[in-house]
Amino acid sequence: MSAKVLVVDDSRAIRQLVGTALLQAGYEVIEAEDGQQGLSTISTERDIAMVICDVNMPNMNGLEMLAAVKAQANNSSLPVLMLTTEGKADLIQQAKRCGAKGWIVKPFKPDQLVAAVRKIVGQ
Amino acid sequence: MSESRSLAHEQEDEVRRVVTEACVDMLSACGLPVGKIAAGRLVALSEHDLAGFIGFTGRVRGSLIMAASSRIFSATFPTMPGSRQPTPDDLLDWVGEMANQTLGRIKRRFCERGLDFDTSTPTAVKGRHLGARTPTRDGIIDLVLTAGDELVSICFELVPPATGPIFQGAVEAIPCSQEGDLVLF
Repeated sequence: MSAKVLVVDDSRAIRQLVGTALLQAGYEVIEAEDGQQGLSTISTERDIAMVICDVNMPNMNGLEMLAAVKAQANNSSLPVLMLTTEGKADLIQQAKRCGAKGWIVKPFKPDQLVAAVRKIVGQ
Repeated sequence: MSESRSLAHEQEDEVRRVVTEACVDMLSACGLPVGKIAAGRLVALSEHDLAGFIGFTGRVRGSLIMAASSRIFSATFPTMPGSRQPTPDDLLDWVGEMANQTLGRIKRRFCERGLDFDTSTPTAVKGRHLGARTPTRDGIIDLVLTAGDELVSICFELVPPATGPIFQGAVEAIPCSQEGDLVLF
């Protein structure tokens, strides 16, 4: 069974690009448009192996979503990779302290993203 | 914006340099052959039918508008082998994302000069003559870049801080990762 990855980004183009790369690499992909929807999806969808999440989003930003996910006992070990235009070192450290698995500054190379996902959740 | 605080001439030059560099970087990364238009040359921007907008706030605040034809945005739309062609809605979304990534590049360069700001969520519009120029005023930097046979127009509006220069020479750079950097913890 393919590992299921949740892609959370308010940009449909980014969700499509990430989704296509992951589908072609053999993963199952589901999407959410903002942090609030991402959190809701995590609570209702079964067997999510990993989350790829933007930072600057309406309704709930990615760092808020990360903190909320990690605060849930049954989701605290869910890997979250941040994918964002933000590159400030203090934000990256904040995500690390909150339990994120990594940080990519957009734009990204699809094969680089897939390699990171493979490293985090396996093939 | 109601304020009209002036940018000091040398600060405006530096902001223009930063914005130009960031825009050229963004468009080049999208695979476009980018060039600069000589200052003062009149250009027709009537074919600009898509524009992305994004704002920012903090010690300085303002906005970035990036306008071009749908041909340019279609050419830059990120695709992978096997992915479908962008719909008009996809393209509109991508226009906003391009403004977002361009402002991200501007922000990194501002951080290198010790100045940070918070970015808003981008939006985009489709219309006609979106690159039309209005009389310029203080705090607005207008750029037109060539992208092959096409033109891309950028309007960067900046309200400087109430006191002090935008870039304060003795301030330390704010550490930032570069575009494309990946770190796994």
